[in-house]
Amino acid sequence: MRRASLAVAVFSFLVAAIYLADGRQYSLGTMARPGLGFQPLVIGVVALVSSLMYLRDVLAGRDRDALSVRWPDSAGLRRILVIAIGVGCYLLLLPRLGDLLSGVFLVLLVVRSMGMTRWPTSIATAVVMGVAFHYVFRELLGVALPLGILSGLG
Amino acid sequence: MNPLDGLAYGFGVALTPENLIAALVGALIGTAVGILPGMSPTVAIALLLTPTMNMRPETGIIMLGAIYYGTQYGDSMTAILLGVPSEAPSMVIGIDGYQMSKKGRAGTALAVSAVGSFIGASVGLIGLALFASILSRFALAFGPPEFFAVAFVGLIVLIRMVSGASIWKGVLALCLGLGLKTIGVDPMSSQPRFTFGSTDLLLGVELIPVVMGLVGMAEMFDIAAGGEGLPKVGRVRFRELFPSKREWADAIPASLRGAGLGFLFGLVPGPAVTLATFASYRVEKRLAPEEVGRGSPRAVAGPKSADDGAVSGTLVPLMALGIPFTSVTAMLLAGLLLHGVEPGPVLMLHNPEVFWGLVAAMYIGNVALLVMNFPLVGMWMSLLRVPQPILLALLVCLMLIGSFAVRSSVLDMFVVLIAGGVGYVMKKLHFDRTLVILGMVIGPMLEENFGPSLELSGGDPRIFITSTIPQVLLAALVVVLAGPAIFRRLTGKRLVAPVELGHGAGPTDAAP
Repeated sequence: MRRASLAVAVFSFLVAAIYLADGRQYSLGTMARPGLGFQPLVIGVVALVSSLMYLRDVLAGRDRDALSVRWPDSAGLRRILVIAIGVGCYLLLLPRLGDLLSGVFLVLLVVRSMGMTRWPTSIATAVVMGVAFHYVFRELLGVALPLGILSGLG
Repeated sequence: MNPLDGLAYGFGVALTPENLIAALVGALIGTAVGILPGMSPTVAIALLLTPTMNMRPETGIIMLGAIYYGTQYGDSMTAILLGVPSEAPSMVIGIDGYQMSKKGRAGTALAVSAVGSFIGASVGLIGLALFASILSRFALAFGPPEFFAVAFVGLIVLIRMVSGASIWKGVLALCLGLGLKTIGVDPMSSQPRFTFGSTDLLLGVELIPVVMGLVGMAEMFDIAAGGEGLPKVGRVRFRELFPSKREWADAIPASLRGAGLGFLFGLVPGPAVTLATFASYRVEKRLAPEEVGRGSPRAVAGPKSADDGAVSGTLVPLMALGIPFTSVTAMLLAGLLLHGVEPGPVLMLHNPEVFWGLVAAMYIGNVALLVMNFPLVGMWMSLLRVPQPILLALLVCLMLIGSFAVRSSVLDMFVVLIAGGVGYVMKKLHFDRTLVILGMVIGPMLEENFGPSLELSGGDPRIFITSTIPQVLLAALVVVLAGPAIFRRLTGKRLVAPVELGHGAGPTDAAP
């Protein structure tokens, strides 16, 4: 399973290179007064060198951790993806539908993907939890969660 | 204020009804959250920072401190009862604790763990009161070069101590944290950096959503990937909670040993709590090789005591210097800053009620944990019977809403999701997520002290090595970096045998 570590090393190198290149637009300042670009330059160079050294460690088989990585099986991966995509959809829906409806949607998605098989139980759980979150955070704690399409209802 | 007067003052602060309730509620919430799988103290504090924002500073900090202790106690309960801890220190406690549970001695294991925790916290808090007040008086003379040196040397030691098979992974993780904190308006020059024209990014990347994602959401992904539920929890009867005389005779000295050891480990940058629990376990193993490993109360009490002693130790650099070296203390720092309290040498001068109130409240919180957790053990165990789909949905929603609440930003919720994916990959590849968090906290400190130091010296970088404190720190750094290699070359032995945590967790997973 060295491929994942190799990919991370290459990805880190690319990110460091982009960071370093973008950081060039900021002034380095002088020795007596370092400018806005000084810290990004140091971080970028260190990250670039570290990613290369890490790549060398992986290629040389020195990163023993890289050999013992256990990725989830396809079912596990599917559950992660469903939850991640569900959260992404929740975040896109939140400003439009509001916290209550999008919360119900997210809970429903998570409980179904985690193996709650009966629809009535899943829907009831989602509605109860969605309403509870809305009440506790919006009404009790005053968190300004978006109301979305429910804002007209007051 | 000397430590004794300070403690008396602190008890005066902590024993007001409002603060007392905050300590008790914090300890209860912390225990409840700590019991839940995947919930570490760092995530618990990140989640619960928002509700404390409307409290008075000392009340909010007292509650966060109590949550910290409570979470640790809760996690060790899960380790003892189920053998599935959320963090490495509890894993050590669970080695013999879970063995005891399997033999029907779960009650005894929980009892010695609670008493060990109490002893560890008591010794640790006395140490915290003494050391923090001495160190903060000493640190009043610190200027930017000294603060820069402490933060810089601390980070290097941390990378050295927590990096697993490849040190460069640690450096990369640290660079990620440092880099994230360069996004947004620079507080020194008020100019934007790496915002790519986005107004949302002007405020920068907030620490709390990153922690929620990197640690909390990543754990949720891991639990979701596993799919299988938790093992069934047995019943623990109240009468089973009382160990025999012989078990007490083993457990109490082990707790005292663990407490001292833990506090000393806590003072050193690095995965102090994990190292302390392992060191205590090894001491007990050396003293009773026949018993330890087969379900011995001393191997539960000692590491648990070391765990709590080390927690107090890690608070010393935070309170006295304003520099955190663990992810939990980084979250406590975020809590202090949210309340407008500046930790560091002037904390005891400007906000004595926060420091001494916290020390006293932690003591009270520990007494409360000891008293409450015996009768409430059945209630805590019932939390482990909540169906996993509901638990997961609850925690995912709490993390998202908790991160939104910090500054009412949907962008922060996206940060949770992205950081969750990154954190999951980092966890699988044994990258240290603590270093990302600490990079985000210590990065700005480095920048804030680096520039002014050079301005003071007119651009002469020798300012970082000419005063005594940086010199002492650099010497210590050389010892830490070169010491083990020199020792190995001279003796042919390793200074410290490698630590095997099992369950795929690196020593790095200690703090989150």
